[in-house]
Amino acid sequence: MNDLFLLAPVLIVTLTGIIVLVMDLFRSPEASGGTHLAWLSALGFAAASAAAIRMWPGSQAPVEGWMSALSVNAFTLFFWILLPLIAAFSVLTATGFDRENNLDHGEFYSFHAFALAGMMVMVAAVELFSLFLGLETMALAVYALVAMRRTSARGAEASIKYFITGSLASALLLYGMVLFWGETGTLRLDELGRVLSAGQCGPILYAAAGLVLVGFGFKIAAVPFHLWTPDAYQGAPTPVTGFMAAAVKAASFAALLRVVFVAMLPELFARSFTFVDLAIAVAVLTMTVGNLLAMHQEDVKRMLAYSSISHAGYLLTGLALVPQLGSGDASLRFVNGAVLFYLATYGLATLLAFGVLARLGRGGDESTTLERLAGLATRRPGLAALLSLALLSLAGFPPTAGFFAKFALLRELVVVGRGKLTILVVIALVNALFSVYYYLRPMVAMYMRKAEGEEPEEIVSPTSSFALILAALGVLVLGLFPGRLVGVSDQAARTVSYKVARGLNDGSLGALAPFAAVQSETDPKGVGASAAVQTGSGDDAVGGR
Amino acid sequence: MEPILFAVLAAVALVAAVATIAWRNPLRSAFSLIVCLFALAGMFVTLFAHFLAAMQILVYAGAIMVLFVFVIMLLDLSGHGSELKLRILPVLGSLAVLAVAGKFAKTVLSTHPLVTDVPPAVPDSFGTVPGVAELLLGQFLLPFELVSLLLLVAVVGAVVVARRRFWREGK
Repeated sequence: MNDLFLLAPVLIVTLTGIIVLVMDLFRSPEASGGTHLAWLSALGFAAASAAAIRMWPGSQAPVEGWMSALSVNAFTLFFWILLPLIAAFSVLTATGFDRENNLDHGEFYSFHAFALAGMMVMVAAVELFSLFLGLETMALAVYALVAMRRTSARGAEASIKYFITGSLASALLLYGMVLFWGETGTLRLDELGRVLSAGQCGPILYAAAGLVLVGFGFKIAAVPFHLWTPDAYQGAPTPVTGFMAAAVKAASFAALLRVVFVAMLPELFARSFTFVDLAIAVAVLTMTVGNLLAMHQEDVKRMLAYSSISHAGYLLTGLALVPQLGSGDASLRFVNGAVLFYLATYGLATLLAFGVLARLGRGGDESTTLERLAGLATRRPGLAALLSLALLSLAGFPPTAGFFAKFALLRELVVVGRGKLTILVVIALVNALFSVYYYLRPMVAMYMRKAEGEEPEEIVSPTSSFALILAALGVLVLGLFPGRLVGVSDQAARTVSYKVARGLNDGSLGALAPFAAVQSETDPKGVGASAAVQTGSGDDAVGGR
Repeated sequence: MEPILFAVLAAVALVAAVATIAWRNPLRSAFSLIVCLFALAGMFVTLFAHFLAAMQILVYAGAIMVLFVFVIMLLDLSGHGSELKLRILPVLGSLAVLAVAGKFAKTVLSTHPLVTDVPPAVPDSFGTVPGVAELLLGQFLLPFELVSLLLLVAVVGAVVVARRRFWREGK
């Protein structure tokens, strides 16, 4: 029974989806139910997030029996808090847009809920089968969301492309998982890690790891697996694009981090130079190609699609760091902490940007080109300011959250990389500088150009404005006072380390003993470690880097 | 005996799978798929998963294939040529991929033996109905329940995508 309570956030989200689906049956066909359903789902998501906050920081002890497929630790809870919030913002910013595009049906909101439930399972899974099921639930719901807008040819193209490449990615992932199972007889990540570290690393395992990593590469839109992204992002309904860029990417990254850090580290990465080189090459390629292609886009929605690719590149530098670390597990979690913080702030800014874009253009006619954006500052100064804030945060200007996220990540690259990764840092910095060019272009259009010809109309939606202002406040507050979230990210990142995951399953040690083991390595005196274990907080032994 | 049977069935499954995507005539594709699914069921038998083999034949080769064939006949798709078409570019592409994969495989194989001598242990109940039931409702209860959510999403999604119009469209 207690196990069931651990699942509460997922159950709340799933129930919300079903309730919204059923509620939709009871309204008259003529009435527009969009706003009510959006609020209902947003409240459900917020409740799930609140439940996850109450459960913080979760338990380190592995759950036995039927719940053993999931681990509700701080890493999981971090995403169980973050993802429902992203989804709640996403459905609220969709009001108005859904009415104009005839999307204000129960299915539109319940697909958000089901996708969210899938993501929450995916980020919690410590076993490959559940991870795959969560991922597929998410993917199917998002395919349906992209395909829901029936009137647009571009939407149809986007849904087909997204569906085909997404299915291919799922198939690769599944095949990799099957090979893992065939070679080791287990699907649990920690046991996989143990087999890999025992040195029985046959060629099949390399193939399995390769397939799984390529599958994730598609999901997070890393170059060279990014080709579906611009079309899918541009053709999807704008609020759904925001949901895809923020939530789907965050969930995929979380699952990738868990698979790499618990199952494949450091054996595969450290022992085989190919994986190290590939991780660095993919990170560099992803940020550079994304940036270069973003520069020439005339459509802001498409430009943001490319920019999301380049952000995936920055995030991947976290993985490129891994081989430099060896057994320096303590540093690893700081890197992870920076990656989690980046995911949260990037998600918020992305939602804000797509939320504003969703308001432009009435009657299903999206006017998100630079040309149509001209003069927005005089027509709707509020929307223009919000979009500018989002773009500044994505570009990494202080005092927005995006600045601190980039700063933290690059700082870890410098400090933890111990100078070996200077080139990577320089490339990331140059990329960040170049990206300023295309992030400023929409602002130039909005503030310095006048609309030519007929002025485009914007959608009026108080609910959406409310959500946008909240998101904007979030971007500013996280930029000015990042400390709290940084602490939370670090605490969450610590629980996804491979040592913790494997140590816990030894059985001979107490539930908290692995913490002591990890910390005594980093804290030479060992005093802080034992004290931390006794108080059960573990926070104060962090600084032993 | 079993390894040989397995290899033969695997070869049949592969050829049938390629034929499924290579035929221009959808009905022939469907029948190739049946062959592929039967071969898979045979492979399950050689792996002692008898229950799975029976399910494979009942559900896939039986029910789902009937659906496929019905849909093809209802849509009257059968008149689009019958030749087996293998275009040159995909073949060249596959060869290039194989070359790269072969290079990787060679590097890895030069340092690792292909066959590790410890086969995963298999319990006695493996492949029997009680064995499968115990796994489904014990260790894999949560994934089992997740599948129902996945199917719900798939069904609602299919209905939404396939529906001609929403209520207010076309009025």
